[in-house]
Parts: sequence; structure tokens; C-alpha cells
Amino acid sequence: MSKKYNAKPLRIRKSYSLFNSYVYLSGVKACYKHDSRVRKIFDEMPDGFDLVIGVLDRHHAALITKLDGELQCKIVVDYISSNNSLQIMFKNLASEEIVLGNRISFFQAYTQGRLITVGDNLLAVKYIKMMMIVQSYLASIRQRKESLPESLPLEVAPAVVKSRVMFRGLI
Amino acid sequence: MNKFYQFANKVKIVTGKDSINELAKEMVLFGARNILVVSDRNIKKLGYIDVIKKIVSTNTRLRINATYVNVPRGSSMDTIEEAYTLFKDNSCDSIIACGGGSVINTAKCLKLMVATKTKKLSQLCGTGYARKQDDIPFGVVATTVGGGSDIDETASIIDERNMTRHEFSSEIMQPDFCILDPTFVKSLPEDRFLLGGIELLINSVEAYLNKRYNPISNNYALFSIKILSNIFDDFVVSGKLDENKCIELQECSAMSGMALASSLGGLSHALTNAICACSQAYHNLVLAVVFPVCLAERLDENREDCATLLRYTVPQKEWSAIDKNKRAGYFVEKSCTFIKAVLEKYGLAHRLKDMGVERESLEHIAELACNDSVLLTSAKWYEKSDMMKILEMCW
Repeated sequence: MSKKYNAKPLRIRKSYSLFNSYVYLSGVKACYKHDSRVRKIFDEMPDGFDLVIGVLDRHHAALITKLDGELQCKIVVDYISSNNSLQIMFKNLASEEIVLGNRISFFQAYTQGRLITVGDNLLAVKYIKMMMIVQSYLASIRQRKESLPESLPLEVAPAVVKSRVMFRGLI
Repeated sequence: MNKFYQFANKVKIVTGKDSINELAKEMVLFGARNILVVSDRNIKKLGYIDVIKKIVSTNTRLRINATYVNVPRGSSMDTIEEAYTLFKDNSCDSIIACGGGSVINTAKCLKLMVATKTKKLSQLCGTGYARKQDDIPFGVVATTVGGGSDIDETASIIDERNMTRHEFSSEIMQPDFCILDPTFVKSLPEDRFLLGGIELLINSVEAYLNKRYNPISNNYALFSIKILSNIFDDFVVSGKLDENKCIELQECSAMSGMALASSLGGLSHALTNAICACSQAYHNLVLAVVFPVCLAERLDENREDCATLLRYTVPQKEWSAIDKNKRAGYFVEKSCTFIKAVLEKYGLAHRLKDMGVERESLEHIAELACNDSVLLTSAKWYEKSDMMKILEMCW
């Protein structure tokens, strides 16, 4: 890890993490509209099920839940785990920054032991794959070449998803 | 190769002829007093439980409080919770597992429950999340070769109520020590023994080809492949394996287990797990059928690594005589021919349809395989259609 990274104050790292989580949640919403694979995964998601993506032992997390058939994405503070949930947690802030900053893929993060899952592992794999699809849209061309599998197909142009994420950010 | 990786293996390996005599000493060293022995009925019939009881009785500090021998083939959640009740009711403080993959997986999950003070196993689903609250001595006496479950930190358990399979992964589950005594694998029929050897070879190759590999697991995998190719060459000449070869095979089992624990496996493991979840077929037999097809399918992706592996499986002279561009293909061909020859020699099924896998279930198997955690370590993105293509070829 570089000295420069360590020099960042914790509150800036936390804000950066919050921003990344927000971008990813917007990405999930955009992909839900445009990518059939992501839509299929969330259509199969049972009502009241929580998908939590966050950092282990940190206060905020990205929560994706389905209520009355509608997908809801929000950032929550102090999530209390329920039986009907799946948590995909990064081991630390540094790991989250690397993955959500698209420097490595979700697959690489899993292989490097940066991810912890709490809940059914088969479901966890499904959602990690879904996050990887979202990542493939949000990553830059160089990042996609370096860290994502070449054989991962995109259903729409990444610009479609990115513009939607930006538009959501502006409003 | 990964620039960032984690490698941990804390299992003490006790191997060699009569190494079972070390059992009592090891249990005492790890602080055991009241032991629960976990095993299955076949092992009991073979008299191995009596051997363990006899050895434990030589040490006055140790006592076997209970014996659980109801582990079925393919461990289930109910079985583990039953064993947990027995463990608590008899005030046990340590576990000895004597058997193959199912027995060891049961004991591993039992240890996970006790160490985390959790009464419901389903609450511990997931990878690497469980936090240790208690430590209990846990020893394994392996009676099979191949799976590597005596070394690794994962267990796949069937949930009979919901007809699903749950995966557990935590460093807490790893045994403290593992005894590899050749007398305990003697009862295995020759074909099962050799299939175990083939499974070892496949595990090592997959561990090497996996994206998750690191220099430490790589070395275990390569060394294991080197010894295995010597053992198989001897077996082809003489037709049987002596005791020394048995010990070597068990050592390979430990090494490939360590390599696989770190690198998880590959496409053939994902497919095999899915097939075994949907049928009653033997894990190592399915792996032997699926692996050659997967290896051939991924040849372009792994051309360089396959060429390196050839160097460890053929003599130096033969290796240098083969054209540089043909080495990978030669390795694949050699491996496939050997596996096919073994299956044919013992009259074992070499198609999925001969193992009772129905054609209608292939789609479900493909879907399960797509969602196997093993594939998260793969360099390629696999869709259901890719899986169906391979499954059709194996069927």
C-alpha cells in the first residue's frame, strides 16, 4: 500500500467509500433497467430479502431490498442483520476502495480473500456475479481490459448505464 | 500470478507406518480429555473404531465419552446437529474423526458449531465470517485418499429439509492434526484406491491452473503431480501398489489438499459438485469423467501452464524431444488417455448417463454449476450454455 494512501484521513476515506457505494447502487438500478441478467436475478429475489454490501465492522452499508415487488436501493447506517438477508462484506476500507474504484474485479477480490459472505453461499455467488456485471459497465475501458474477464459480455453500451448513473447523481 | 494472496495451513501431518500410535499423544498435546469419535458404520465394521479406542485407552488422561457412527454418504445438516447434541450431552471437549470426506466434513462443521457456540448450523453459512469463541482439539484419521478434506477449511453440506447444499468455509474448521496411516487405507478396493489417486492428480492440476494460485500452493501442486506421475508409471508396470507407494500417495493427498485449499479448484470441480448434488454418483468418478473434457475445453486458455505441467509428468529426455508448441496438447492427451485407461480397466462408468444422471437434469446441473463459488476464482466468465456444452459431451 502506498504512503499516499495511508496519509488520507479516515473521514475522507469514509466519504470516498460512501460515494463509491452510492455510485454502485445507482449502477445496480441502471443495470436492473438495461441488463436482462441483472433483472433476472432481482426478479427472482424474494420479497423482503435484504442484500447488504459494506465493510466489516463499519457503520454504513449499501442495502438493496425488495418491497412489494419494487427494488429499493439505499445507504443505511448500522444495519441489523436479519435471517432473510445476505451480506457481502469487504474485510476493510482499503479492499472496498480498490474494488469499488474498479482497480480489481469482484472475482479477484473473492480470490484474494478480501470478501466475506454471511448467508447462503450459492446466493452469494449469484450476487457477486451480478455485482461483477454492474462493475463491467461502470469500469473504464482500461480497467475492463486489466481486471475483468474478456468473455464477460455487455448487453448495452456502458455509456447508457454511466449516463443514467450520472443523471441520478445530478438530481 | 496474484500479487496479493493469503495462504494458511495449520494442520499438523503425522504420516508413516503405524503412525496411528501417535493419536493419543497428539490428543493430549492439544489439550483433549473427553473425546467424541465421529465415524460411519462401514468404518465401525472394519474395526477401526476399536483400534482408536485401544490406542486412546493407553493414555490415562484421555477418555472416549461417546461415539457417533451415523454419518451417511454426503453429510447433512440434521446429522451434524444430532452429533452436536451428543457432544454436549456427554460433556465432550474434543473430536476425533475417522473416515472419508463425509465424516471429516461432519466433524469440521461440528467443530465450527462448538467453537462459535452456535446451536444452529444454518446461522454459520458463508465464508470466513465465523468468529472463534472456544477452542477444541480436533484430530483426523484419514481412511481414504483423494479428497483433501482432511486438510482444507471448507465443507459442503446437504440441507435435506430444503433440498439444497450449503457451503461452509472458515479457518476454525481445520483440524489440528491429521494421521495418514497406510494400514487405514488398505481396506479400500483397488479401483477406489486408484480413483482416489486420479482425484489427487486432478485436484493438483486444477489447483495449478486456477487463477487463485500463489507460489506456495503452486509448489505443493507441482510436487504432488511429480510424485503422482511416478506412482502411476510404477502402477502401470507392476499392476499394484506396495505400502511405500501407499504412503507416498497419502503424502500427495495432503499436498494436493493444501494446494486446493488455497486455490479452491476449477471448472471440473464446479460441475462435479453440481452433478453430485443432483445424483448419487461418486464424487471422484464424476470428476474423472468431467475433467478430461474440461481440460480439453480450456486448452487455449491454459496452454502455457499445461506445457509447464508436462515437464513434471514425463522424463526430461521425452520432454525435450516434444515440439515446444505441442507440449500442452501432449499433456492433455496423456492425462485423458491415462484416466480413460483406468476407467476401462476396472469397468467403471465413463459417461454420466451410466452413473444414473438423467438427461432432463442437465439444465438444472448447469445452473447449479454456474453458481458454484469455485467459478469465482476462474479467469473466464461462464454462462449456462458453456456448462451445457460440456455436460452434453460428458453425458
